[in-house]
Amino acid sequence: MRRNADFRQGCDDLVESPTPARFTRRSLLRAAVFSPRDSSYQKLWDPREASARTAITGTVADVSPHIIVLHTAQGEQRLALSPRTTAWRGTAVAPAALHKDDHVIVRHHATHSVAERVWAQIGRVAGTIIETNGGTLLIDEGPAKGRKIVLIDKGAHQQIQVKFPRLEPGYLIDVIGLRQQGYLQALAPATYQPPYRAEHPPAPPMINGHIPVPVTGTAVWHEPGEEPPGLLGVAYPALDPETDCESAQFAAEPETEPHAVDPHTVGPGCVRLPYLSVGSAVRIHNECADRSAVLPVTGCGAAARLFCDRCVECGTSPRGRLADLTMTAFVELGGNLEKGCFNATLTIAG
Amino acid sequence: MGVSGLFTGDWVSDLLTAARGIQLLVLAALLLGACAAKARRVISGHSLAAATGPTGMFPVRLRGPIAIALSVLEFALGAGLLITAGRIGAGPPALVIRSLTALLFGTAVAALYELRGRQPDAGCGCFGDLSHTPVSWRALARAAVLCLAAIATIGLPPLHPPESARQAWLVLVLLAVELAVLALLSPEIGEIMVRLGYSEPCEVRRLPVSRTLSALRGSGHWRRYRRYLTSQEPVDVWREGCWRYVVFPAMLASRRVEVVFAVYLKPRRAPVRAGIFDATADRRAREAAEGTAVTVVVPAPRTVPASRYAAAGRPAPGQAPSGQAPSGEVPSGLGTSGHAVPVMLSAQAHGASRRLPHPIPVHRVPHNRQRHSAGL
Repeated sequence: MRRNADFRQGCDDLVESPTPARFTRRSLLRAAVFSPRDSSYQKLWDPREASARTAITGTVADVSPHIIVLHTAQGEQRLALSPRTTAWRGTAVAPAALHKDDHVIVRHHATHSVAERVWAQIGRVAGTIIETNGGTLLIDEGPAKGRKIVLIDKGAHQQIQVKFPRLEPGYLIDVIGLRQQGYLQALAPATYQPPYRAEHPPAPPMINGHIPVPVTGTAVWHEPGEEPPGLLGVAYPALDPETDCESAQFAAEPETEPHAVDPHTVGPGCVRLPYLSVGSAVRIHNECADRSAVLPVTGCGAAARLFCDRCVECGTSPRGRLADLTMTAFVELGGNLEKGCFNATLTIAG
Repeated sequence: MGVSGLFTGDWVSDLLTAARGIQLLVLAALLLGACAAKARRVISGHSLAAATGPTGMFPVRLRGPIAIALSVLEFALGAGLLITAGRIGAGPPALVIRSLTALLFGTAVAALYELRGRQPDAGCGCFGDLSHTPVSWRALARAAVLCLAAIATIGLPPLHPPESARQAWLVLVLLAVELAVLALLSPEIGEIMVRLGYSEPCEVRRLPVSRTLSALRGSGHWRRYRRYLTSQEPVDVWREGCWRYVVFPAMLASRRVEVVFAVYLKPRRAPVRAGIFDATADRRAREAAEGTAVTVVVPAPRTVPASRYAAAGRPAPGQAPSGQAPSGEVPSGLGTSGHAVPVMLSAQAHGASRRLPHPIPVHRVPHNRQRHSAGL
């Protein structure tokens, strides 16, 4: 089912590269030629103090009505639960209903160790439908992420079908649900289905001169996969095809994979973004929460080009996905994972 | 001819006949042009069914067949209007073709009106990719004008060449006026003008790395720094917007440094800038400032067989194509073990490189940073 091991060799990727430090050094090397425009660019890759973070990723070690204990990469962390703390585990639940060993991501107050929101076992699959078998779908998330199995929950089938009427090979799907062993139990649509087949996203309008900045559109999130937990970064949809993310040579054979779509070959998507590289820095602003951050480009998000959709989290955004954020980055920027997106603006930092 | 002579019965009759005759040519040209634009979309690899327009209101499985049928109908009617314009096909065939054309444009008016209500941001798709702007009153008015034009051709006698210079001029003037009106009602004209004068933004311009290296090696900065480079092959190449960065290892005053070139992505006469990065001095400056070594957590590296890269015809990331080790600033064990990699991050980094006792003439720039500019 998966042949992404070969695909991945074609892309620069922070996680996959045998020498990831060369990406982290690029901001310094660049600064040897040009003055940094943004002071936060300097500390882009610095590990932050735990207290400086508002999102924590880990597994539940223990939970009671008043406290949640997490196993994290930095060790055990305790967070207080208040009556205003909300939790999600497939649906809104009481925090005490979370299970031991659940993978969770917690947004807490910046200065107090009080959990604000907790998401448990949340997962997402966005890509092209390759095969269907009743409520079970095989989804291709592009060369960088490979393929995943989605099982649409019976109770959510109607809700998903309203926004994704074409659950057929060749069409796009983007669903959120509970991560299970080897598959995603889809519980809600993340967006709505674009009306075109995956290989035919609309072309962006032509632009003369320079690309206008900031660019406005949609920011979404992706499952961490093999990324380290807590990575703050963004999978950028427009990596330089010459040096970063061109995988046409590893593209699926059309005879054997009639519905597989290589997102690098379908054009720039419906929003024009400047070409960047892994290690570049972008400033993402969440217009809904009015929060922004400078984030490093940590991987290839070419699959986001296929989705020419809008986010209606706070008003209607222009079409097109600007950034595919890591879960931690999405939560730190004030996004709610179960919503799937926020209206965003993107500028090039550094 | 006096003013009163302009409105004699013959003149008005000539005018009307000429105007009706012109409609045949204009309608045929537009129908064939619309068909050609849609065919071009298919040839360029896009789906006809995915095109914007009233077909978007139909169920997905019907969009393709309807779009194809519409294109075939446009071609048939366009060709039919031309064939039946003269004596061949005069009579019932011409009547049928012209009536169908009027029916097509009448339907188009209704369909565009409906589309505007249901999908306000959808284009009319009349001329393929050129018609992606949302349906406006202009597109509706154009369809209505063409419907009236098609109705005007019903019952028109076979066309014949102008019998006099006056008639020829009349035809030309009417044609120019009609084309001007249609241009005014066509949002596609603006799109065509944009495409004619289109210059791809440098941020999305695709230029091979080989072009960048050629531009670099023809620059004055390259000649200035070349003798200090310990390898003629770059250890890293990446891009940010309009600039591509190329890094070479170098030896300056017995110290291992890196020379960073920034090459503007321009097909010809690309501006080049250069800078020197001394990681050792940078680390010392940083540690002195903060009193500790700075570490950056990076993911565990994955060991990738070099054969995979060789099969793909490209060097492994971070590996010098010549087989030389990457710059000494990256710890040698990085590729196989550690998670914490010493990396120098500091605003003072550039100040550190100022202490280099190298003989290269430098231009002082703001922020006390060493930078050499090609003078953009």
